[in-house]
Amino acid sequence: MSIDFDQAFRSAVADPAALKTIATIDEHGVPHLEENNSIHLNGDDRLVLLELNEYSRTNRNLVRSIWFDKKIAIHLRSKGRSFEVVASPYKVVIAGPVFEGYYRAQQEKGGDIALSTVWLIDAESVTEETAPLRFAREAAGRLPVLHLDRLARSPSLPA
Amino acid sequence: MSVETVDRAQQLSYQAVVSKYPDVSRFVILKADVQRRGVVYTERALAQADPERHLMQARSIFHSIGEKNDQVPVSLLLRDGTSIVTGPRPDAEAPYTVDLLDGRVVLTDEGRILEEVEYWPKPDFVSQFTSSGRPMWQVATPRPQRMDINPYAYCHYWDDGKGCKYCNIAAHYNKERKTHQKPLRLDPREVSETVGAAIRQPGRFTTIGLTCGSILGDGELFAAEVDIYIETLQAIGENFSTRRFPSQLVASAFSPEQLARVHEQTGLLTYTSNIEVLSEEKFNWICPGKAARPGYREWKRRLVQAVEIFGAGNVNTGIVGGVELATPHGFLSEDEGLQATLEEAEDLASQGVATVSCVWVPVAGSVFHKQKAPSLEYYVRLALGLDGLRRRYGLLVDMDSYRICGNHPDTDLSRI
Repeated sequence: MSIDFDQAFRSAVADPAALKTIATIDEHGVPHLEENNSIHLNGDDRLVLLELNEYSRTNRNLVRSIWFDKKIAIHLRSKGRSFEVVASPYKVVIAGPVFEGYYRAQQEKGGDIALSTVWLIDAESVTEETAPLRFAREAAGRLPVLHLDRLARSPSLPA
Repeated sequence: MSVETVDRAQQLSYQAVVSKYPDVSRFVILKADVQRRGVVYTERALAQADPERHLMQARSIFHSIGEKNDQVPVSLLLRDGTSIVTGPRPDAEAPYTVDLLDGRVVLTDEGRILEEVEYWPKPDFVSQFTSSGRPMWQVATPRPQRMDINPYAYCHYWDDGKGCKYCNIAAHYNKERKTHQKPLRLDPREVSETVGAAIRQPGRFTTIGLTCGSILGDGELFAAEVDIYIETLQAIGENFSTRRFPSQLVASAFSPEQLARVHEQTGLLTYTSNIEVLSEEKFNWICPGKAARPGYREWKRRLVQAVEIFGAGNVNTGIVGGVELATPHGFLSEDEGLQATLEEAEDLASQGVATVSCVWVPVAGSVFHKQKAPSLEYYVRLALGLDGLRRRYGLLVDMDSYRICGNHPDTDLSRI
């Protein structure tokens, strides 16, 4: 089952203008990134992704992930803040009331739109990746890489 | 390894096969083993089955569920979307058990939880009736994404007792017509009404499958069968705005002229003709009627010719995986059976015909009902072999994918 999400993340994933990208890996370990703005949280706090194309690389990689317990990642950027979710696919939904609900919603939104699969995804961790926070977190406790010209009394020599 | 000496105690267990084949999905291995061994339900698992939400009635040419008060879940779905097509197996020796544990419906084996499962969701049309009062669930049998229609319930290879030895279609029909007044033939009008009702449900179905037993006829072989399919497909086609519609016909080995008629006069998209056993010698023993008319080599030839009519990726053949090891005249070892099967499958693949396999279940009412299916490992090796051949020859099998048919471990592997 999923983790506790804080309000900042919930706001980001619910933002219709957010940029949402899913990262999966193929059988050779090669990463594949794809934007997918359908990503959202459902009532059970599971992430949901709507896949329109049964034959997409993302869909095949997600099948590989659920089959062989491989992790995926989702990146969100909303209103100047970024988040990375490490997750595992939990379930494929291709029929039944959950699928039908999303299928109908897709059709109401845009007419004759295909929907192949509804993916239910379990988040395992969420990390804020907004740049200043990320730099601070990554540099914490480390010897800074500080070029000495930045500390010099005299100005740098001209090129 | 000799088939006769490998009993269940010596065969690799599900867990051992999963460990031995880490590059094969454990979901697909589990599906194959559940089909091999059958499944039973605890009372508390059955209590989770809701006739309003779950499919608990189905009428096929091989089995029926829920005709009277015997409603049980028709089949199962795994978390990855894999279907496990299961039928009633009252004589299964060591079935898996579906139970309710920790609030989840799960598949267990000797008390150990293996996976969550879900009962097939019930589509809307199943509760409706045709204008002549027939329940629509008796006209079409739904899978998660395909609805199956059996225009004719019998196989005339059984007229002189020469039907396929693994098949129970004749025994099943003879029982059902007496106990439940099952008709021999479906009325095309009722089929059309049922399809029309079914496809009104948004997002439920992506294809229609038709199959029945073989109708040999008195004149040209299979001519009467062709006529029934054309009439039924034309009735179905009335429901669609397009000339062709996603559909699969699983039928006898029609001649090129017969296939051309079906292709021209209906909206059929794909064609399957099951050769059942990929060895002429074993075919002649297991399917004596088919061996006599039209024969193994002619069956193969007609499959290849069908590709010219329906196009690449739209023709395949099915086998009853494992029946080639039936005793006493089957292959004596799993290695031998596998090698022979894959050699023939490669011959067909090289000519544009994909082979798909189901798991042989020795059912009541068949000549082979007391036989035993081969090991789980055999089915994994067979699935790998067939999937591998398709990849090598660039053959797509979308027409029989996990979401279209769901009865083939090998096409499940083709998802990635």
